[in-house]
Amino acid sequence: MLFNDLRKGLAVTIKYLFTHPVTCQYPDERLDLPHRARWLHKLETYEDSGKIKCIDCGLCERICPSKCIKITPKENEDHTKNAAEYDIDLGRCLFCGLCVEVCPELALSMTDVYELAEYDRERFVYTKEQLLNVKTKKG
Amino acid sequence: MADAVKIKINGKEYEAEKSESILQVARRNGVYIPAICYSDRFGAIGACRICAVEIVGMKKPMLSCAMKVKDGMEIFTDSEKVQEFRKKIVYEWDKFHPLQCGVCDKSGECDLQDINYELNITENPSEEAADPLTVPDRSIHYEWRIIHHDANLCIQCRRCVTICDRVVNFGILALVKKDWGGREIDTKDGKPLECEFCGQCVSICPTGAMSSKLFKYKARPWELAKVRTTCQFCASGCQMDLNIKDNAILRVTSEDNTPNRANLCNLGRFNYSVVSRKNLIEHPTSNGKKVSLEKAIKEAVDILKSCKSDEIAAISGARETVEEQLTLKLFVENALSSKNLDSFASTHIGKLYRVLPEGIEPFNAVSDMEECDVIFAFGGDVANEMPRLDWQITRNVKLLKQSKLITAYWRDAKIDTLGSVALRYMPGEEVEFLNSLFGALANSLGVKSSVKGSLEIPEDGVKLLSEAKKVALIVGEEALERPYGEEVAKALANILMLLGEKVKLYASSKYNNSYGVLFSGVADGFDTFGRRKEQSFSLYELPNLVKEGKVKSVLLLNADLFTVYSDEDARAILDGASVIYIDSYLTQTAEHARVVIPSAPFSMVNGHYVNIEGRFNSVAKALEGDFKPASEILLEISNQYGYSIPTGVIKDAISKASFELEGVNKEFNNVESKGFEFGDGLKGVLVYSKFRSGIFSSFGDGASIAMNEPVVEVNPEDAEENGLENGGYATVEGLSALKLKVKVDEKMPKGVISVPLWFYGYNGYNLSGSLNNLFSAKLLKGE
Ligand code: SF4
Ligand code: SF4
Ligand code: SF4
Ligand code: SF4
Ligand code: SF4
Ligand code: FES
Repeated sequence: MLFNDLRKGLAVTIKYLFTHPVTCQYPDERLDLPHRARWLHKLETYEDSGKIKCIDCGLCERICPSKCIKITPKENEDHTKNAAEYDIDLGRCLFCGLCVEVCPELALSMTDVYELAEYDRERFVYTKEQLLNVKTKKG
Repeated sequence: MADAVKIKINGKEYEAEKSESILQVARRNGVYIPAICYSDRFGAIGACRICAVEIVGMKKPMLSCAMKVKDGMEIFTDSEKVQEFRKKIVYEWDKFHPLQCGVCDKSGECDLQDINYELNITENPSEEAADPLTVPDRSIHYEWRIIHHDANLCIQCRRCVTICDRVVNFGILALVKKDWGGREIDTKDGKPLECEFCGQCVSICPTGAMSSKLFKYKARPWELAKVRTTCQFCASGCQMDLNIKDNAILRVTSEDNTPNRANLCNLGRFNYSVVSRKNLIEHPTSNGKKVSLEKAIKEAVDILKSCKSDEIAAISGARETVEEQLTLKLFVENALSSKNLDSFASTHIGKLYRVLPEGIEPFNAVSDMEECDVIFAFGGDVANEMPRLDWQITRNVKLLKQSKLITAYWRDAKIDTLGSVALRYMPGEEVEFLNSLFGALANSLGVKSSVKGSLEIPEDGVKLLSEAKKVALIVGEEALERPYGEEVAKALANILMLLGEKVKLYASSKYNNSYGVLFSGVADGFDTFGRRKEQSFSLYELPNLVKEGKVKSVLLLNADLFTVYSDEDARAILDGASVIYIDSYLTQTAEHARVVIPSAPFSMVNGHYVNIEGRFNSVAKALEGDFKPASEILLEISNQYGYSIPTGVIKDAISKASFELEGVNKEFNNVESKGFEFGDGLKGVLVYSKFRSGIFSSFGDGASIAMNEPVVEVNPEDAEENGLENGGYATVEGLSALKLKVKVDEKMPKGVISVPLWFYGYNGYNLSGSLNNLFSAKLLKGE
């Protein structure tokens, strides 16, 4: 019969119009990520003093397979060392998480922030300020 | 080999010599024994005990670094007993050792880390058993200008103490008893460290306890790429590694297997920041205005074309590579057809090598000084002029105890602290002294000669010299730079001839490639390969030639005029002639020259420097930059001038890399007894500082932090007479005046003051006049 195929197709479409959607309605909603999901890095601070935890031991820089971490250290008054600058080039990062794993100071973690698209390659370089102020989606 | 013995290490047989230690034999054969306090640079200390090995028949493990081998000895380097012994030592070191490898600069090249890893130490019974309240309060963080000492990281191996004492011969460090009951490394006098700031202690410390403040937290050792090169500060030619990260030099290190045994002085080790951008000439200028490179080159060519060939003079600063010098030579002689070519090397070694007697070896390896039973150091403060010679003398006299030292100078200097036969003269009496010494020596050797002097030479000195089997004759740059330096050179040549085959000559030079100058023939009286030729032009005449209008254009290659001329003469040249200046550093000459063309500095150029040993050392490009090497600039100038320099000739000469410089003098020279007429005031002498080599060295952090201003050294009595205090200021008057900080030093002879050269902004030649280092001085109390 003429239009039979069309009729069949439309029937399916119309049927689904009245059922609940199964895909995630991004950006109105976000998927619940697994607990250990590895997305945007965050630089941790001490709760009491608010000081950055990273001491620039350089291990993350060293272990990173895509060599996208760059730390510039500074010497404090009491001869301790901290990162004065801490850049991660997410344009090259493969989110392997090795940097987090190797950090002896637990100064680096990974969050669930995966909205990382940019129009410009340069903007993939996240600075210390950005990394310190990452807000996780879950809170 | 009469002293040959056979020993067994871990069951395998090895041949050895009786004088060797177990450790030496093991290392030579590739058997590993850990050793922390031992170093080839000074030998065994016996402090760390980690090198202990088991010797069959002996109950206790023995120290392999100190124990000499005996025939039939059976040694185990790695038995369980030894392992246990070593572990106990490491437990003690680890006890309360701050766990800060994460930030410690030493991490990655730390002997303590390595030994922990090697012995697989994961726990420390010694620390567990200890009462935490007994943790010593070693909160000491000494900040000694360039050197940072953190006593908490120290394992008391005494390497720093030993190197400072037995290699550097400064001996300021010691293990000092502290209130908490233990010992810490500190200065002997307890005052903040004031020393040579050579950083030898930093380089030898197995842990992070001694570190460089200039390098502090700049990078982790594994991030650094090392580029082997040759030091740019004196003619010792020390081999060093530039440690590079992100196109910057972050520190300088060296290795035990270099001819300089990993030793470096303040300038070599710490003054690397001279090559940072702020100290470099950024862009070409013409009449003080910024121009493009093409324009500057064209301008230079126009200037040269507008002059007759004998109206052009060219000077090399003796700091550029041999390649650059040869290019200059070919350009000046072939393109410009000018004979007016000279170099700063002519102020000292040029004079001596022009009168070198026949049969005298012109160059000698520094380490061969060890063959000499007598070292005779004349005419300068070697320790300040060439630290590497100082270390070698120290090694001969203090460490190996195989040479006697004779010094001839106008004051007691650092090397005299080794114990010396001190022959003294007053500044100005060099020729008279050498002639007198010659007379006495000739007499004692039974040689007939009419050369005599009027000074009394102490008998013991003459005896030592005449009975010596081999003599190292060290000639100070200072003496040759006297206004009568040529007579000094002739008088020295007589002594060289008298000593004949048993003499080894070492003539010190602050200019890193002054020996290259002799090779490339840019110094007056020398041709390529160091061959001799007629003298035709001397930089001593330049100011007058310019003033008389006979020289109209001057081409300067790395020759900052203020290095050897007074401000007045330098300005006269800069104003009176069209000066074309090719150099890297922002010197005063760069501020005033007519055309300035920046060339690639040290660390951005490949080539060779020739050192005091006549050795061709490679200089390697370690940093990227948009500078052209001076040789390329000269090639371009020459092309536009209408002559294409045959670069093949240069390559051939370099690949030959050997001198054809031979002594020619066959007869004893007749030496005019020239001296210097001082007025009734004080005798003023310009001397070299350990912390400067070339005025541009003032721009580096290492030199300027170690010593940021020049000091006039005065005898205590003179100071009192003139109402001066140590640390106060005085106006020193010579031809003109300089206001300088006063250092009262009882080693200064009464009536003599000294002013150091090459501190930026303090031109010593303003006191004495160009190319002269003596002056009649007055001291006035500064306000
Ligand atoms: S996640 Fe992996 S690739 Fe990304 S910065 Fe860390 S180590 Fe480098
Ligand atoms: S001295 Fe060595 S063991 Fe001690 S903190 Fe530094 S790197 Fe670690
Ligand atoms: S820097 Fe040199 S002179 Fe100073 S304490 Fe160290 S080794 Fe001795
Ligand atoms: S400071 Fe370094 S070299 Fe000196 S004793 Fe301590 S660990 Fe040894
Ligand atoms: S200045 Fe001379 S002695 Fe010092 S490190 Fe350089 S070459 Fe060696
Ligand atoms: S190396 Fe032998 S005791 Fe230190």
